[in-house]
Amino acid sequence: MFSCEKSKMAFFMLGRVGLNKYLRLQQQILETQSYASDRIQVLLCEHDPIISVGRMGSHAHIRLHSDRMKAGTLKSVWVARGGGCILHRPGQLAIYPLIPMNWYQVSPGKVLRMVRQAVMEALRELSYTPLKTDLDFNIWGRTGLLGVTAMAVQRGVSCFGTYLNVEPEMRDYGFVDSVTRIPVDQSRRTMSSLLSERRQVVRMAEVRSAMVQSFADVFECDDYHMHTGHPMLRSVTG
Amino acid sequence: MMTSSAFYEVRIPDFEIPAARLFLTAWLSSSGTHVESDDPLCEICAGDIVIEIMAKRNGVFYHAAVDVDDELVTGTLIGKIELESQFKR
Repeated sequence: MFSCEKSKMAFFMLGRVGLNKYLRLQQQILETQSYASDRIQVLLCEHDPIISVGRMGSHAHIRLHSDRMKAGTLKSVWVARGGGCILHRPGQLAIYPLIPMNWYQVSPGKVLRMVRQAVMEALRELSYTPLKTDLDFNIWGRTGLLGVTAMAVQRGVSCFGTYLNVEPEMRDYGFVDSVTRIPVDQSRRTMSSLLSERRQVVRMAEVRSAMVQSFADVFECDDYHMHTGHPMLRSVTG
Repeated sequence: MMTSSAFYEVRIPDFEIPAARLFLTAWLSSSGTHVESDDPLCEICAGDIVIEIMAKRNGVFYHAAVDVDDELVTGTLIGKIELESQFKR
């Protein structure tokens, strides 16, 4: 149960946006939203190829040839979130729930559980049932790790979120260890995808739509708003 | 006029993540600096999530004997905020 009777939610479909540009947008939202707001903002987007490294990650988890990294074809960036290394690519859905946690009186653990529950229920809505594991807040399937949850709490607002591999080009994923612990029936620390798991076409638009409905259900919101883009995105450079 | 000091203890709250190991990953306010309510004091990593600990009072913040990368548990004292109260006699 969510602590407030009805939550206020707004979903923003950003399309494809560079990770660095998204990070500046997120920072701007956190600086303006902060404690005073009662509105949950969920931003959905896809990122250009880049590797983000969280507080639990290190470059030892990236086994790509250093000449390729040096050539700049694939860059890495340190980010202030939990979790380890994540390779971002178009075809991976980034789900960023920005929740004013003080307003809704929720703990970091509850936020992680609710976000995971929302992603799991969206996948069930798409006729796919992920594996059950209590090891962490990630989403596991038969072929491996489908979604990684890596979050932060800044200024009392949750940020970052879950990265779900829907249908990205899988090149390089085998060289990036995204988790340090794996369930007993799994052998790889790298990411798989929903497409590999289901072996049939998965449309990103359907996944986004299922995600919106599922987040609204889990966060007990009957009346939410959907937007294309974000009003602050225009003022964020490059 | 007389000034007295009291301390507000800053401890690691219960994040409700039972299996996570907690680490201090950064100090966001230096020891001995004045902080306002809601200023970030430090950053704790709890596995999949990184959490900023905020000041709940105004005053001068002092670090406890905890260093970056130290493993912590719920309830660990991470610092104190010296509250200044002024009153007339």
